[in-house]
Amino acid sequence: MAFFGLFTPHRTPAVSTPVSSGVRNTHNLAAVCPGEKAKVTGFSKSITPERRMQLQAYGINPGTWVTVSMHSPVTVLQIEHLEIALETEMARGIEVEG
Amino acid sequence: MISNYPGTTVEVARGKVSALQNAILVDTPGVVTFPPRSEDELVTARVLINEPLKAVIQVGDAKNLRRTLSLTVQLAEMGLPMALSLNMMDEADSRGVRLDHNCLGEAMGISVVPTAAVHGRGIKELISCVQTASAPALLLEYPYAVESVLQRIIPQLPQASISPRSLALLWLSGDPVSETYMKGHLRQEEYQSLLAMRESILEEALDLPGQIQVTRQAFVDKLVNLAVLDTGEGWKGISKKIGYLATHPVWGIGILALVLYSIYWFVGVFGAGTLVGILEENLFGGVINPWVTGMVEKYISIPLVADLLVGEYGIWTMGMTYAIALILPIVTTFFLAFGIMEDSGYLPRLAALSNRIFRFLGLNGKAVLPMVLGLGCVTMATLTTRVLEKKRERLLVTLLLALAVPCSAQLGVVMGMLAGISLSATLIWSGVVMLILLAIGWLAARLVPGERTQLLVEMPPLRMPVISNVVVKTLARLEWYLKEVVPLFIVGTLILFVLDKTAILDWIIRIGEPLVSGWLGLPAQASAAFLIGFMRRDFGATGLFLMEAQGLLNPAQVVVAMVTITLFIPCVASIMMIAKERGWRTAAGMVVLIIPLAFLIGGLLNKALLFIGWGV
Repeated sequence: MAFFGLFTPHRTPAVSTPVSSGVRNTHNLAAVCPGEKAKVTGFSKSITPERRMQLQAYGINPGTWVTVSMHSPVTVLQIEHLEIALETEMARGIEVEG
Repeated sequence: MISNYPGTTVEVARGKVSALQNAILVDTPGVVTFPPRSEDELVTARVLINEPLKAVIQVGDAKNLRRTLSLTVQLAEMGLPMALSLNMMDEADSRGVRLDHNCLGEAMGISVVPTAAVHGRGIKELISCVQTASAPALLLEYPYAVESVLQRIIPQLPQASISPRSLALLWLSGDPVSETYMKGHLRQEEYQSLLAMRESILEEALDLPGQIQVTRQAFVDKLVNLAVLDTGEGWKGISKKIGYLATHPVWGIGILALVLYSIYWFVGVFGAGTLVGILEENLFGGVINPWVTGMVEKYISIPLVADLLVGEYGIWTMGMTYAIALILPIVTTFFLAFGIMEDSGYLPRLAALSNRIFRFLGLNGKAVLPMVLGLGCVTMATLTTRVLEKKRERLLVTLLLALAVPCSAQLGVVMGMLAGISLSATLIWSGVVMLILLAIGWLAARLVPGERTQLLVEMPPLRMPVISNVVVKTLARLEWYLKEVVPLFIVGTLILFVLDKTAILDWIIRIGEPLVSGWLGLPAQASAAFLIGFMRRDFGATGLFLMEAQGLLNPAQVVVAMVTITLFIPCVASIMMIAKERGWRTAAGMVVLIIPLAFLIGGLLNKALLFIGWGV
């Protein structure tokens, strides 16, 4: 029933708790499907130090779990009760696992 | 001004609080972190470093404690007496967030008060805490590399209102405000030696800002673990669902269309149609103006003075009638609509939704805030470009505002005229203006050096707008607007009156004839409208409105005139604002670019319409 996503604002995350077994899947935030959670592990070189500080001020820190709610028109993240919109290119520079 | 959007307050507001005697409350723009990244955040940093503050109140979001505390730690390090208001406690409660605020206060040596400002909850307690606040004794210990640099720098620093340690930390993180402060308070050789030290550290490739950040973050994590009893995770409220839909690529467009239609109905149909009709025709045209004219004729025997007050270019009959009967209802309804959008938290979602269009213009979705506000008042919007991060973006948006964004006053007059002709007239006008906006925006983005900044914006939850909030904001904006508009309308009328009486107006009309009649294909009298368009373009549009009412313009001429006056420079006040914010050279450059461009496009449109035979 994913009619334009109207009835599924947040699909059940494939990983709802931190992964504790098996090989961890390392990739970037832009590759995380909408509705899924991932743990931030670091930032790639494409993120300038200035940008990194802003992202960290919003709570996007290594070790933090974030939920991705969409990638189009921009990537939207949820960190606790804070919603952040960022361009998908920027999301590509945020390394995650899980 | 309170609003559900980071970036509404771009200037410092000062006021008295009855409960705090002899104290002045300074309200500063919101900040995410230091060093500041946009001009409005710079304003706040300047206040902290330069002004003799007695105490600081941080108003933070209770439900996003981690983010709030990241700033609290920085403020507490500054050593100024402070109180933290954990605001929006009502929202935190409804999401199941539970906090132990007392342990936070103890850990940082500051007073922490839970508040819900819109309901007045916790405000009394906050005020009493501010009165008794003492300097926090927070001392974060940084890694050895940072501490050793701090020890070397601190003895050389000038006195500031914030602690030397925090000034040094700011400066090490590359903060421009502390840099300016130090340059101004140290001898040149002293500053040069500090600068050399900082550069040698950077050459050693020690990421000091990163290390500072990591240390603070670790401390904040510890505090959060201590204070958060329940994170309220898994909350799914209706506002979250609507918020999701408002940003959705398909549903979002539908919601936007609905919002635009509502604004059109409220501002265009109700404000510019119904209210203007009542005020202009019934009240001013039918009651007030005949009465004023009668009184003037009865008591003032000098014809020139009577003419100055109630003549064709009379201060009352033209200036005040335009300002109050025509413009006021339109801007009032627009500011109300804008206030509701702002308070509801819709604007940041619009920023996300419109990001693609703004990418084309070398910008990002954040530019939507000044652009939408520009539909209310271009001058105000020029000031609001401060929320944009880079100088390049502020320049680009300022240009687009000055060129192609009609303010509500003008929009009202333009729409009123075009709607009277046909739908295709409106479509031609809006199509040409949009095309110019996109073309010039695209071109300017490629000509102005520098890279585009990517979008990164916080999206506050959607809320029911608080009516009192919206009304207060609308009144404040109206006061600002009236102070600016009424004097200009009076001066503009006065200039026209003098030009008319001294026959200079006739001369100008003759001089402008080749351009206005030959190129634009308008009657020669339209020169007068463009002349007062220099004061305000809506004033110019109103002049054309009168010409149309007298049957002097055919449909093609109306469309050409409206396109030209829309692309014209906005008003004297906006040029002053551009000069203030961007410098006189930029302002002069824009005038030199915009005026010929407006006439060029108007003339080309005239030829095109003649060619296809539309409306002639």
